[in-house]
Amino acid sequence: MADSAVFDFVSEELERTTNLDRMEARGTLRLLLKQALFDSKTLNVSQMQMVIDRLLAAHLCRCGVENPESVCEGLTRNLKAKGFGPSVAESPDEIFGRMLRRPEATPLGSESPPSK
Amino acid sequence: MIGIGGIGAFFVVGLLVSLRLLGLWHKTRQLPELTAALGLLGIGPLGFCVLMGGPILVPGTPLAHLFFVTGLALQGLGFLAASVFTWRVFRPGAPWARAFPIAMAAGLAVALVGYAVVPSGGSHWHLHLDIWLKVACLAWGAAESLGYWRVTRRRVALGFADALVSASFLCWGIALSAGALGFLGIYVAVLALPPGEHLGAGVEVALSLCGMVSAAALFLAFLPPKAYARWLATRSPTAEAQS
Repeated sequence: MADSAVFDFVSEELERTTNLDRMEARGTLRLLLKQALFDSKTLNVSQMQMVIDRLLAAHLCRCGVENPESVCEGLTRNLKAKGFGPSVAESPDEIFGRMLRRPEATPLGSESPPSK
Repeated sequence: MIGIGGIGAFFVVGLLVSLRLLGLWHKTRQLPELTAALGLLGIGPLGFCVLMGGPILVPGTPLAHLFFVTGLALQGLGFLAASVFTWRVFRPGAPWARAFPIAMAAGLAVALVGYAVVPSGGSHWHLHLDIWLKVACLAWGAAESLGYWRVTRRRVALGFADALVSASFLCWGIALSAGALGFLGIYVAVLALPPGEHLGAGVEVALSLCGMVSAAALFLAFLPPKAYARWLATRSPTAEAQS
């Protein structure tokens, strides 16, 4: 099974906007996906966005990539502009989140009910 | 009569959850909501009510057998919907998972013909086929959901998943497991029973327990009380980090 279209797109963008070559860009993303327990074959936009938001900038910084924050902002912008939409399958998290009538619930976990 | 408590709870919760999911489907028009709702409705309240309608309303008449076969048909449609749900949610890209509902529907249709034409007291081949396909359907769904819960539980610990959604995978898996155990219990009891005998109290208690567990798990999976959601949220690492 091939990598998801989202993974291919972001790795190409990462290669284009940084000094990482193709292998490094894909390897970087695979490493971060492994940390977050996501699968590159079934990766969707919201999962990719989580990895960009939470892990990528720090990792690029450690790798010596210049302006990691702006790289991440650019990736986010282009990922939204690409508009993968319904062609990329929803994750079970998104489906169950919707069925719990919590349409705002994404795999991020940041939308959990406020704790007291 | 002992079994009515747990099975009744399962009917009520199954009806509430399926009606809520149908309402949600009315807004979203998404397949998972529709298949989960029809699955619960067919396997639970609708299927069983028609199944039990014959012996209660028209006992000992040919109509009772018609009720029985119609109930099984409705239940079969529920299982078909449940297997489509499992495929669509957990294995949307797997060809074997797409084939499972088709194969199961064909098998259940054959079993239904068996129930309709084979006289009672004869061979039980249709019962074997029917129950094992239904148990396989429930066990598959349970295995997928519990397997996915294991992954999301670790993601919750890392702050990458929602604790309530993760818990709903666990609850859905438990509900389906209890359902599979219930069907296996009926199967064993029917095979062990002499013709014309009723189920023993022990079997009824076991079935009631399965119904109760399934009802409680379904309730937490799809109608989680706010206190339960808050409790889960306070246990998540993101909440701990904020406090």
